[in-house]
Amino acid sequence: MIRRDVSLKFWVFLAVWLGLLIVSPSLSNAQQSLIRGTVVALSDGESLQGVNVALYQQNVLKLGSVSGADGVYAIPSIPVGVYELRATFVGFMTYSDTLRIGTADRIIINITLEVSETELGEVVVEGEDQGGAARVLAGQTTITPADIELIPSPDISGDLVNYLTTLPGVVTLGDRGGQLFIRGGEPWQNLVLLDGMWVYQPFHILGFFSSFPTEILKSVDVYAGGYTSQYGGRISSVIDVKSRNGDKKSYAGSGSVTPFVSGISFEGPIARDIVSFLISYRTSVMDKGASRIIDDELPFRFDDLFVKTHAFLSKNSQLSVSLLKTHDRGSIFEGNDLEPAENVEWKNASAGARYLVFPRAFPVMAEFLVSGSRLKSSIGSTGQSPSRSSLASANTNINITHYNSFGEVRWGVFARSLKLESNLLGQFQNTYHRLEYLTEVGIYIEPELKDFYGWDLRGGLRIHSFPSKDSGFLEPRIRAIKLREKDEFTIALGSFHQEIVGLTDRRDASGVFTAWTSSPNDNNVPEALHAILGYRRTFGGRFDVSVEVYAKKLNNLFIPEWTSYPRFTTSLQPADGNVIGSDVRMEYKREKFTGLITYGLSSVEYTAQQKSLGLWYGEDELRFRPAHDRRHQLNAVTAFDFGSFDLNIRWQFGSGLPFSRALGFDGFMVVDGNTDVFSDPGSRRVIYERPFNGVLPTYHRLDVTLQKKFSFPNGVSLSGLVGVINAYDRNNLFYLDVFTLRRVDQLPFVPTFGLKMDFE
Amino acid sequence: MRVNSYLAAVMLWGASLILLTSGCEESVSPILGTEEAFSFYGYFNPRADTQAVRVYSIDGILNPEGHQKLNAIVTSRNKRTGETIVWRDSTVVFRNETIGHVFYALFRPEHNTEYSFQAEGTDGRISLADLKMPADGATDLVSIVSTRSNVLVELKWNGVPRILQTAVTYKVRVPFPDGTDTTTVRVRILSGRLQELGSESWKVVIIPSSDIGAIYTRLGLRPGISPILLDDIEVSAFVVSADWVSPTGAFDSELLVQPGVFDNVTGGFGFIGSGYTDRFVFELTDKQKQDAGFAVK
Repeated sequence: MIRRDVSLKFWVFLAVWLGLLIVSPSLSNAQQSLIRGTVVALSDGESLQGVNVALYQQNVLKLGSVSGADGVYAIPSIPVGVYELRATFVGFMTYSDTLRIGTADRIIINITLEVSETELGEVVVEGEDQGGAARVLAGQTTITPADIELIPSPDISGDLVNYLTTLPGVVTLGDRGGQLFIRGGEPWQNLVLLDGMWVYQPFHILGFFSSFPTEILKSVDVYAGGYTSQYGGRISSVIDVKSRNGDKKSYAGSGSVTPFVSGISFEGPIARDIVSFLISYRTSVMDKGASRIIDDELPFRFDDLFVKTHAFLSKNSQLSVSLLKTHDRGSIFEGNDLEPAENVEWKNASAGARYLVFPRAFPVMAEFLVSGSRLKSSIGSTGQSPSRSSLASANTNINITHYNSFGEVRWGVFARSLKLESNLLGQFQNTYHRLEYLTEVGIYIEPELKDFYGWDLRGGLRIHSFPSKDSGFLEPRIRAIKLREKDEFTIALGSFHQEIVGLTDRRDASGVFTAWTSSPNDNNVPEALHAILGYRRTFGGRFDVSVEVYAKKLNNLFIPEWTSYPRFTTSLQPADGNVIGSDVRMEYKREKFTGLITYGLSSVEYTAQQKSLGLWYGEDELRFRPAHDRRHQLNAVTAFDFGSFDLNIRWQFGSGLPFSRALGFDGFMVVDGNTDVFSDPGSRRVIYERPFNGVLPTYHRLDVTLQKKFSFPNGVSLSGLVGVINAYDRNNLFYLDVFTLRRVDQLPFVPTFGLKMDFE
Repeated sequence: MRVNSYLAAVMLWGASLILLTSGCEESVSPILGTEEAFSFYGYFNPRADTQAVRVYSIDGILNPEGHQKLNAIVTSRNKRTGETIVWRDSTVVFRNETIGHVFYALFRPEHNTEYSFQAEGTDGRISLADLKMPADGATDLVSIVSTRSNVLVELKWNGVPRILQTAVTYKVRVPFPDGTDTTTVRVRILSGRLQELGSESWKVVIIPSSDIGAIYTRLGLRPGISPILLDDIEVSAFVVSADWVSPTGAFDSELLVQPGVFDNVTGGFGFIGSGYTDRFVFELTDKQKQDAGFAVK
């Protein structure tokens, strides 16, 4: 981290250096040609990601590229000659065209792929954006809706969060609360983006659901660590969600009903082939459905609304506008003899516009993003004033990609204004009301170097500053990938800082409410160093195995202070953390069968630095396993396509989470000479063992769903789903109330069923 | 692969999992239990005829039924004479509607004598605290230094092991607004600078010329407008046994709440001290009163 030294001279020097770095190779390639364009599907006009676009001469591959999330591809540095341009993608007919490339041509070719009745062989041009559960590249996993549909879910539509929880290293504390801990990081350390918009708390209060149903998803990149310099402001992980654009050919939609959630989606052209829209709305119906089935109260409600419109403004530019609104409320902590039930509520609102252009004259692609995001959350007992927190931000990003002979160079600038307000009624450092306005500005560069001794290197440097706090951060990063015929090696290293932090009572599973604030310690903001080493091998084209080992060094964290008073509000203490672990993924795919096994081995250790530790334990620092340190996690998923119906099975296993055990309870009075035992009521006290020394029971659950689709004339289809959640009725612990000895279990055996009607 | 093979795989799946997971239901107990039986809070006072100590039983639940009698025999023993006294339980309902057990006994402990205090549960578990009564000390008024606007009084307590805190009570009179009469008020201020001189000798310094500001504030009067007449000054010192020392130097409940940090109970938790309040009253001369900021008739 650098502080107070990021002077104007430094910025000028950096700008000049970046300019030279970017422009010089572009000039040297000025005599060579460039082809760019967008790949879309003929059926609905949706842009296609992962399409192999390549140039051939006499059937020999010369140059190639893979289309990105917006369907955009670019093949730079093309020597003069005649080529055959081929675009291939699984499930689509191959596009072919003959091109005569001259000197310094800047050609735009937009490609439309037609769905193939018979699957064609694919020409593979390797790139970083490859899907599949076992296809992890230095912490990055790309998820498609097809992947999500493999996972059994209580909803007939898939949801991103169900897939995320199959990833090794992703820990949830239960099927409620919507908290994801990724490779040792805490939920407030995860960056979630939807079409470039920040979404601060996107996972719904019931853990099966998020703000991202498959109806709206195009692809999701999950970086469990070691992410590129384009991303920042968070120290654990990035979940970058890209939504679909909507059908540009015809109207389509769906409606679904299950005991948990009901939803509708609608999409279609506003101007055929040019402008489209997509609307999705879901609302929970658990109070009328699932709670009656299990004859138990499920005090959770949520809604989410997503609206998007997308336009191809010209041959070389796109514009999209997106809006997301969510609302969650419910009671996670159901109360005990000391405290009443706590009601928690949060609302997300994000809106943004994204403009993408590749100018004809320059070998670049430019992305302009403007968005605003807001999160309002509260927690409190019925009839009492709740604690509140709100976070609003306005974000502006410009991302530029240069296409050079040695690879791409990405760079960008960003500015972000934040308003943070909290009224915590004395929770957290005795904070009552706090209002802050902050501005962040920064710049990043990601030069790529292809085939450097067989390695593709993507370096990165991110510099960002909060001028009002007189703080700045310098974050070098690098990702390296070595692709071979059947296997690949990956490495990622990086430095990360987080100035805006979430304060959460993380002593047990009920800590859902997060108060956002700037770092309590201006001089030491939370920071992380990531290191990832990975290996993947493909056997026979059907069986993938990948192994990653990772380490994270976390500094300047904030955790609640310990106390023997039986209460949930507290002050904060500084802490550091160390995370080490390994992920193993195995995926087997055939035409009608997919099998997936993931295993995560992880160790998270925090070192607390509360001032009283020396007095209490005779040690100035105390090492302990935090509440989310799940050592072993196993997921087994199988998906069978029987033709007439689909059968999906998932089994999850997680070893026990740490918790603080008590020896017993007594009372406490301060004997200071003023004690009057007849009038001073004293306080009840918990006689704790050392913090987090106990381990809760293991967690495992089997979910099974069976789905059948009936097709009718006029493009109407009806899907039916039957299934069971927690098939063998395992009493999985969600929450153990040490104070009342009451345990709250997760969902019992729940039969689920649903109907979904699609039309197009 | 034929459909039958798929079905066989599914059945194998299910059977394996059911075999794997059946019968492995795990229970968890968050309460480990402890051999410690009771927690004590309070102190013996050799200048009081009734002694009282709060006794908590150490339970496996947070809120035990408070109205029930505490199943313990609580006794104290004079280690010099061997006299043992059985204490009586009283169930107290506090202002916050919680219920506690305060054990009391009618006796006056002897100065400079060791006692033990114990509670024995019906299961035979015993919690025990040993304590020594502080000696009956003597107080000297060492000096009164009086200059214009500054009065400093030094007192000395001799023959006491430790003074925990001091307080000063100013007996003052405030004239009625019409000047016909005065109202007498006692203002108690936790003040006094404390210094251990060694060999069970403690120096206490009070500064009336500083305390008068706090007196005006307490009485809601304005200096220069409302005169305050001083009758006398009482300095009280809470004399305690030598072991009554907070490990942090202060009595911060957030730090001391951790079990074992400030305890002298064997087989339990808590702290029982021994101490008494010793008082010394003196008067200032008219000049000293004026120097301190008080009015003089």
